[in-house]
Amino acid sequence: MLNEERIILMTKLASYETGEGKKNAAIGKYFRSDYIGAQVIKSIISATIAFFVVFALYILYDFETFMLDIYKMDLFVFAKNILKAYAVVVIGFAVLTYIVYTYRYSKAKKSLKNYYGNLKKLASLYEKNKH
Amino acid sequence: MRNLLEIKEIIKRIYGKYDVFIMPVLKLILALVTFFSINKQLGYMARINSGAIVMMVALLCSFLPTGFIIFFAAVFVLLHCYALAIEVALVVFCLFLVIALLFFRFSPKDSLVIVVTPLLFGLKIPYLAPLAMGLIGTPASAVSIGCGVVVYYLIRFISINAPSISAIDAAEAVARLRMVIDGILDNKEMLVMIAAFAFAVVVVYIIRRLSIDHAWTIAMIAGAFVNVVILLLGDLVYDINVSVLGVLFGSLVSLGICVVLQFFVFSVDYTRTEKVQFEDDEYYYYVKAVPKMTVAAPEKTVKRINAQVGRSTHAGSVHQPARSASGNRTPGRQAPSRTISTRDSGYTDRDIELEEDTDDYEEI
Repeated sequence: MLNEERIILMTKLASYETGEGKKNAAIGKYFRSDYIGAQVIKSIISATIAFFVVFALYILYDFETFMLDIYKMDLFVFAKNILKAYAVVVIGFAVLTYIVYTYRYSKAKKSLKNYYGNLKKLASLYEKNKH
Repeated sequence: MRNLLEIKEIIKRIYGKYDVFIMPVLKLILALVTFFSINKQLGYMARINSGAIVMMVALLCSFLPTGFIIFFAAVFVLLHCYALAIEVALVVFCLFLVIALLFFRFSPKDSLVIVVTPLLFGLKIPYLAPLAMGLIGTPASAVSIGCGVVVYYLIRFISINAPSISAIDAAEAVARLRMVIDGILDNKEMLVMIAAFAFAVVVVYIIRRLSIDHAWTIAMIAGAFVNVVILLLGDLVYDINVSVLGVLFGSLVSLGICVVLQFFVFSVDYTRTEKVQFEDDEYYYYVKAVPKMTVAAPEKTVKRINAQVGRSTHAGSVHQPARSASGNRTPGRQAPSRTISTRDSGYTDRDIELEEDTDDYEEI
């Protein structure tokens, strides 16, 4: 026999699985630290590329003066300044990523918890039907 | 008001029925408008200027995810810049790359704003972007709008200065590069716009979340006000030649459009028909879940006024609940129309009960 209550619940679950649930399930596969760690590493890589792109443009902007000055200036101090700027950008971006993805992870987990709750409810409906 | 609500229901019904076609058509229109405006503004590469190519790419965008509109728009801009001068293309590519790496890294839901904001600038109503995003987005939407503003001013700068860029001798690549970078960084008007829009988004967001009556409307007006004030202040401080009348008129029009959008788009739950498949031990299920349609039937409010000796007016109100299309009563879906009727009559059931209680007390 078709059980209407069961079908409604299953439809809701199936629609969640194909929509929002897909992303959440992908997040839910990871441990919290693994997921956030991976995202932070990805962010560090993107920030590094972005930093070097901007740095290259900065050098190109004043290329002639830079080439003239390169023999005169203290390269050590120059490198130190660049590294400092790089550290600020990367750390800032990593912290931002950490905050954003911690929030996203907890949200996904909450949503999945609700989904699992509904799955349990569905299982109990089947049990009830058997008896 | 009732007519408007009925129109809203009709739109909702049409969307629920034909959403499979409506979304691609909307995407197609957005893509067409975007690519044509890019071609009109830049248009240095004759090959991609043809309508056929634009149509083909737009059709492609209509069934691909929305992110592809942004991708193809960026490709169009880059190709035009390349045709103008390779140095310009280099700077634009670096800028797009940085935006992609730092901003799209978070795959924000409102990334389409980056395309829509420059289009709104073209329509002279950029002020709509912060108001609308404050209402439906989060303060983080300020970043997307900021990127959109940068893209608009970049394209405008290139479009205005194209003759002088090509006039510079090709051997002086660095000079061209410098000109474009200066053009982007020294643009005070752009910075003021970004600041004004960011503030407006935050103000609209904060106010619309307050638990006060008409929070959304107040938020919109406050946002538009903050926007105008910051733009005029920026004009005073940096002397950026913002047209005061243009700002005021643009803000008013944006406010008007925002009210319409809020009524028909933002506050409506456009649930759509869903088709899902699943199975259990006994059956395969192919379910088509169609959202229930409520017809905004005219509601009747009956007021009974019984004049009795020694008693003041006794009032009660009877509501006739709305019926769903299928004729079944749907308590969950009646809530909105019921609230409207009580607001219209100016009484709530609770108020009336309280009145009766006081009368009884006096008699005793």
